[in-house]
Amino acid sequence: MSSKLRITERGFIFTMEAALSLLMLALMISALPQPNPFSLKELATTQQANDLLRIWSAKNTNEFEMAADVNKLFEGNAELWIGGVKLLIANIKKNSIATEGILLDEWLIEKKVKIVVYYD
Amino acid sequence: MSITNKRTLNEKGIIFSLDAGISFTLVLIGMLVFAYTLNAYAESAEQITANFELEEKALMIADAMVKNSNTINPLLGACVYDADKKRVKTNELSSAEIKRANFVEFGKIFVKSINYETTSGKETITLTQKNSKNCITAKRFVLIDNKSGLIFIQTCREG
Repeated sequence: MSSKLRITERGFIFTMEAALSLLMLALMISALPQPNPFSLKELATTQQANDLLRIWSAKNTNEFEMAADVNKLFEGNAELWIGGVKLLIANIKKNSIATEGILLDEWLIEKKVKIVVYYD
Repeated sequence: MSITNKRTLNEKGIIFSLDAGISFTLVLIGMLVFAYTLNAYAESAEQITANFELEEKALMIADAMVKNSNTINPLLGACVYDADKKRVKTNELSSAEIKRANFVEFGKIFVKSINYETTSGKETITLTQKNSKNCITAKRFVLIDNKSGLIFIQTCREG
Protein backbone atom coordinates (compact mmCIF):
# COMPACT_ATOMS: atom_id res chain seq x y z
CA MET A 1 0.00 0.00 0.00
CA SER A 2 2.75 2.38 1.05
CA SER A 3 4.76 1.86 -2.25
CA LYS A 4 1.59 2.51 -4.22
CA LEU A 5 1.19 5.83 -2.42
CA ARG A 6 4.78 6.78 -3.20
CA ILE A 7 4.24 6.15 -6.93
CA THR A 8 1.18 8.39 -6.90
CA GLU A 9 3.17 11.14 -5.12
CA ARG A 10 6.01 10.98 -7.67
CA GLY A 11 3.60 11.26 -10.53
CA PHE A 12 1.91 14.25 -9.03
CA ILE A 13 5.18 16.12 -8.36
CA PHE A 14 6.41 15.58 -11.93
CA THR A 15 3.15 16.71 -13.51
CA MET A 16 3.04 19.93 -11.48
CA GLU A 17 6.60 21.01 -12.29
CA ALA A 18 6.45 20.01 -15.91
CA ALA A 19 3.12 21.76 -16.31
CA LEU A 20 4.52 24.90 -14.67
CA SER A 21 7.56 24.86 -16.98
CA LEU A 22 5.38 24.44 -20.04
CA LEU A 23 3.11 27.20 -18.81
CA MET A 24 6.11 29.48 -18.38
CA LEU A 25 7.31 28.64 -21.89
CA ALA A 26 3.88 29.37 -23.37
CA LEU A 27 3.64 32.64 -21.41
CA MET A 28 7.06 33.83 -22.58
CA ILE A 29 6.21 33.21 -26.22
CA SER A 30 2.70 34.57 -26.12
CA ALA A 31 3.71 37.70 -24.15
CA LEU A 32 5.58 39.08 -27.16
CA PRO A 33 3.59 41.71 -29.01
CA GLN A 34 3.53 41.24 -32.76
CA PRO A 35 4.78 44.23 -34.76
CA ASN A 36 2.01 45.68 -36.91
CA PRO A 37 3.09 46.89 -40.34
CA PHE A 38 1.70 50.41 -40.60
CA SER A 39 1.17 52.14 -43.90
CA LEU A 40 0.28 55.59 -45.17
CA LYS A 41 -1.92 54.13 -47.90
CA GLU A 42 -5.00 55.98 -46.60
CA LEU A 43 -3.19 59.31 -46.66
CA ALA A 44 -1.83 58.71 -50.17
CA THR A 45 -5.28 57.73 -51.45
CA THR A 46 -6.94 60.78 -49.88
CA GLN A 47 -4.27 63.05 -51.38
CA GLN A 48 -4.86 61.55 -54.83
CA ALA A 49 -8.64 61.91 -54.58
CA ASN A 50 -8.19 65.53 -53.49
CA ASP A 51 -5.91 66.11 -56.48
CA LEU A 52 -8.78 65.11 -58.77
CA LEU A 53 -11.23 67.47 -57.06
CA ARG A 54 -8.66 70.28 -57.18
CA ILE A 55 -7.99 69.81 -60.92
CA TRP A 56 -11.69 69.47 -61.78
CA SER A 57 -12.41 72.71 -59.95
CA ALA A 58 -9.52 74.51 -61.68
CA LYS A 59 -10.62 73.66 -65.20
CA ASN A 60 -14.10 72.90 -66.37
CA THR A 61 -14.28 69.15 -66.74
CA ASN A 62 -17.22 67.17 -68.08
CA GLU A 63 -18.39 63.88 -66.62
CA PHE A 64 -16.67 61.74 -69.25
CA GLU A 65 -13.33 63.41 -68.57
CA MET A 66 -13.88 62.95 -64.83
CA ALA A 67 -14.52 59.23 -65.29
CA ALA A 68 -11.43 58.92 -67.49
CA ASP A 69 -9.31 60.76 -64.89
CA VAL A 70 -10.54 58.50 -62.08
CA ASN A 71 -9.79 55.38 -64.10
CA LYS A 72 -6.36 56.68 -65.06
CA LEU A 73 -5.39 57.43 -61.47
CA PHE A 74 -6.98 54.54 -59.61
CA GLU A 75 -6.84 51.91 -62.38
CA GLY A 76 -10.41 50.67 -62.02
CA ASN A 77 -10.42 50.59 -58.22
CA ALA A 78 -12.62 53.63 -57.67
CA GLU A 79 -16.28 54.53 -58.00
CA LEU A 80 -17.38 57.95 -59.16
CA TRP A 81 -20.66 59.46 -58.05
CA ILE A 82 -21.92 62.76 -59.45
CA GLY A 83 -25.12 64.22 -58.01
CA GLY A 84 -25.98 60.87 -56.42
CA VAL A 85 -25.60 58.97 -59.69
CA LYS A 86 -22.94 56.30 -59.93
CA LEU A 87 -20.92 56.82 -63.10
CA LEU A 88 -18.13 54.32 -62.53
CA ILE A 89 -18.17 50.83 -61.05
CA ALA A 90 -15.07 49.61 -59.21
CA ASN A 91 -13.50 46.30 -58.28
CA ILE A 92 -14.63 46.01 -54.65
CA LYS A 93 -11.84 45.23 -52.18
CA LYS A 94 -11.43 44.91 -48.40
CA ASN A 95 -11.05 48.62 -47.52
CA SER A 96 -12.47 51.81 -48.94
CA ILE A 97 -12.06 55.57 -48.58
CA ALA A 98 -14.59 58.12 -49.77
CA THR A 99 -13.79 61.72 -50.66
CA GLU A 100 -16.52 64.18 -51.36
CA GLY A 101 -16.57 67.70 -52.76
CA ILE A 102 -18.81 70.27 -54.36
CA LEU A 103 -17.83 71.65 -57.76
CA LEU A 104 -19.35 74.72 -59.37
CA ASP A 105 -19.69 74.74 -63.13
CA GLU A 106 -19.48 77.81 -65.38
CA TRP A 107 -23.15 78.66 -64.65
CA LEU A 108 -22.46 78.33 -60.92
CA ILE A 109 -24.59 75.21 -60.68
CA GLU A 110 -23.21 72.97 -57.97
CA LYS A 111 -22.28 69.38 -58.59
CA LYS A 112 -21.79 67.00 -55.68
CA VAL A 113 -18.91 64.67 -56.53
CA LYS A 114 -17.92 61.59 -54.53
CA ILE A 115 -14.96 59.32 -55.19
CA VAL A 116 -14.87 55.96 -53.41
CA VAL A 117 -11.52 54.20 -53.64
CA TYR A 118 -11.18 50.50 -52.82
CA TYR A 119 -7.88 48.96 -51.72
CA ASP A 120 -6.47 45.92 -49.87
CA MET B 1 12.54 2.47 11.02
CA SER B 2 15.16 5.15 10.78
CA ILE B 3 16.89 3.33 7.83
CA THR B 4 13.61 3.14 5.91
CA ASN B 5 13.06 6.87 6.44
CA LYS B 6 16.55 7.72 5.16
CA ARG B 7 15.99 5.64 2.01
CA THR B 8 12.70 7.33 1.36
CA LEU B 9 14.37 10.75 1.69
CA ASN B 10 17.14 9.75 -0.73
CA GLU B 11 14.64 8.52 -3.25
CA LYS B 12 12.72 11.76 -2.96
CA GLY B 13 15.91 13.66 -3.55
CA ILE B 14 16.63 11.75 -6.76
CA ILE B 15 13.08 12.25 -7.97
CA PHE B 16 13.31 15.96 -7.25
CA SER B 17 16.61 16.35 -9.12
CA LEU B 18 15.23 14.62 -12.19
CA ASP B 19 12.12 16.80 -12.17
CA ALA B 20 14.17 19.92 -11.60
CA GLY B 21 16.47 18.89 -14.45
CA ILE B 22 13.54 18.42 -16.82
CA SER B 23 12.02 21.71 -15.71
CA PHE B 24 15.35 23.50 -16.04
CA THR B 25 15.85 22.07 -19.56
CA LEU B 26 12.35 23.17 -20.52
CA VAL B 27 12.98 26.66 -19.16
CA LEU B 28 16.29 26.83 -21.07
CA ILE B 29 14.53 25.78 -24.28
CA GLY B 30 11.88 28.37 -23.52
CA MET B 31 14.48 31.06 -23.07
CA LEU B 32 16.17 30.05 -26.32
CA VAL B 33 12.88 30.23 -28.20
CA PHE B 34 12.17 33.54 -26.50
CA ALA B 35 15.56 34.96 -27.56
CA TYR B 36 15.00 33.84 -31.16
CA THR B 37 11.50 35.31 -31.19
CA LEU B 38 12.76 38.56 -29.68
CA ASN B 39 15.47 38.80 -32.32
CA ALA B 40 12.99 38.17 -35.13
CA TYR B 41 10.65 40.75 -33.59
CA ALA B 42 13.42 43.38 -33.40
CA GLU B 43 14.44 42.76 -37.02
CA SER B 44 10.84 42.95 -38.18
CA ALA B 45 10.19 46.17 -36.21
CA GLU B 46 13.34 47.75 -37.65
CA GLN B 47 12.27 46.86 -41.20
CA ILE B 48 8.76 48.20 -40.63
CA THR B 49 10.12 51.49 -39.22
CA ALA B 50 12.54 51.90 -42.14
CA ASN B 51 9.76 51.28 -44.68
CA PHE B 52 7.47 53.68 -42.89
CA GLU B 53 10.15 56.39 -42.89
CA LEU B 54 10.71 55.91 -46.63
CA GLU B 55 6.98 55.99 -47.39
CA GLU B 56 6.52 59.09 -45.22
CA LYS B 57 9.36 60.95 -46.97
CA ALA B 58 8.13 59.88 -50.42
CA LEU B 59 4.63 61.22 -49.73
CA MET B 60 5.98 64.38 -48.07
CA ILE B 61 8.25 65.26 -51.01
CA ALA B 62 5.55 64.53 -53.59
CA ASP B 63 3.04 66.64 -51.65
CA ALA B 64 5.53 69.50 -51.32
CA MET B 65 6.18 69.41 -55.06
CA VAL B 66 2.50 69.60 -56.09
CA LYS B 67 1.42 72.08 -53.41
CA ASN B 68 4.27 74.62 -53.17
CA SER B 69 6.37 76.91 -55.29
CA ASN B 70 10.09 76.80 -54.59
CA THR B 71 12.26 78.81 -56.95
CA ILE B 72 15.54 77.48 -55.48
CA ASN B 73 14.71 73.80 -55.83
CA PRO B 74 11.48 73.00 -57.71
CA LEU B 75 11.63 69.44 -56.40
CA LEU B 76 10.15 70.89 -53.21
CA GLY B 77 7.63 73.06 -55.06
CA ALA B 78 7.04 73.15 -58.80
CA CYS B 79 3.66 74.91 -58.80
CA VAL B 80 2.79 77.91 -60.90
CA TYR B 81 2.76 81.21 -59.00
CA ASP B 82 -0.07 83.58 -59.89
CA ALA B 83 1.48 87.02 -59.46
CA ASP B 84 -1.85 88.85 -59.96
CA LYS B 85 -3.63 86.94 -57.23
CA LYS B 86 -0.39 86.60 -55.22
CA ARG B 87 -0.90 82.92 -54.59
CA VAL B 88 0.42 79.53 -55.55
CA LYS B 89 -1.83 77.51 -57.84
CA THR B 90 -1.71 74.11 -56.21
CA ASN B 91 -1.55 71.04 -58.45
CA GLU B 92 -0.80 73.27 -61.45
CA LEU B 93 2.81 72.58 -62.41
CA SER B 94 5.10 73.86 -65.09
CA SER B 95 7.29 71.45 -67.09
CA ALA B 96 10.10 74.01 -67.13
CA GLU B 97 10.12 74.08 -63.33
CA ILE B 98 10.00 70.27 -63.05
CA LYS B 99 13.06 70.02 -65.30
CA ARG B 100 14.96 72.39 -63.00
CA ALA B 101 14.55 70.03 -60.01
CA ASN B 102 17.79 69.28 -58.16
CA PHE B 103 18.93 66.23 -56.25
CA VAL B 104 17.89 66.28 -52.58
CA GLU B 105 18.94 63.89 -49.83
CA PHE B 106 17.33 63.39 -46.40
CA GLY B 107 19.80 61.21 -44.52
CA LYS B 108 19.87 57.96 -46.50
CA ILE B 109 16.68 58.78 -48.37
CA PHE B 110 16.78 60.60 -51.71
CA VAL B 111 14.69 61.31 -54.79
CA LYS B 112 15.96 59.27 -57.73
CA SER B 113 13.73 60.31 -60.60
CA ILE B 114 10.62 62.16 -61.68
CA ASN B 115 8.37 60.92 -64.49
CA TYR B 116 5.30 62.57 -65.85
CA GLU B 117 2.80 61.81 -68.56
CA THR B 118 0.23 64.12 -70.08
CA THR B 119 -1.57 64.20 -73.39
CA SER B 120 1.62 65.77 -74.83
CA GLY B 121 3.69 62.70 -74.00
CA LYS B 122 5.97 61.23 -71.36
CA GLU B 123 9.07 62.73 -69.79
CA THR B 124 11.65 61.27 -67.41
CA ILE B 125 14.02 63.34 -65.30
CA THR B 126 16.74 61.31 -63.58
CA LEU B 127 18.20 63.18 -60.63
CA THR B 128 20.88 60.70 -59.61
CA GLN B 129 22.43 57.36 -60.60
CA LYS B 130 23.11 56.42 -56.96
CA ASN B 131 22.60 52.80 -55.93
CA SER B 132 19.34 52.26 -54.13
CA LYS B 133 17.84 49.49 -52.01
CA ASN B 134 14.11 50.16 -51.63
CA CYS B 135 12.14 52.57 -53.73
CA ILE B 136 8.63 53.98 -53.37
CA THR B 137 6.88 55.87 -56.14
CA ALA B 138 4.34 58.50 -55.19
CA LYS B 139 1.74 59.11 -57.88
CA ARG B 140 -0.14 62.41 -58.09
CA PHE B 141 -2.70 63.84 -60.48
CA VAL B 142 -1.71 67.30 -61.71
CA LEU B 143 -2.00 69.86 -64.47
CA ILE B 144 1.30 70.26 -66.30
CA ASP B 145 1.34 73.24 -68.65
CA ASN B 146 -2.47 73.23 -68.41
CA LYS B 147 -2.73 69.59 -69.47
CA SER B 148 -3.92 67.01 -66.98
CA GLY B 149 -1.69 64.05 -66.30
CA LEU B 150 0.15 61.97 -63.76
CA ILE B 151 3.45 62.68 -62.07
CA PHE B 152 5.50 59.91 -60.46
CA ILE B 153 8.16 60.79 -57.90
CA GLN B 154 10.50 57.90 -57.10
CA THR B 155 12.05 58.08 -53.64
CA CYS B 156 14.70 55.54 -52.62
CA ARG B 157 16.86 54.44 -49.73
CA GLU B 158 20.60 54.35 -50.24
CA GLY B 159 21.89 50.83 -50.60
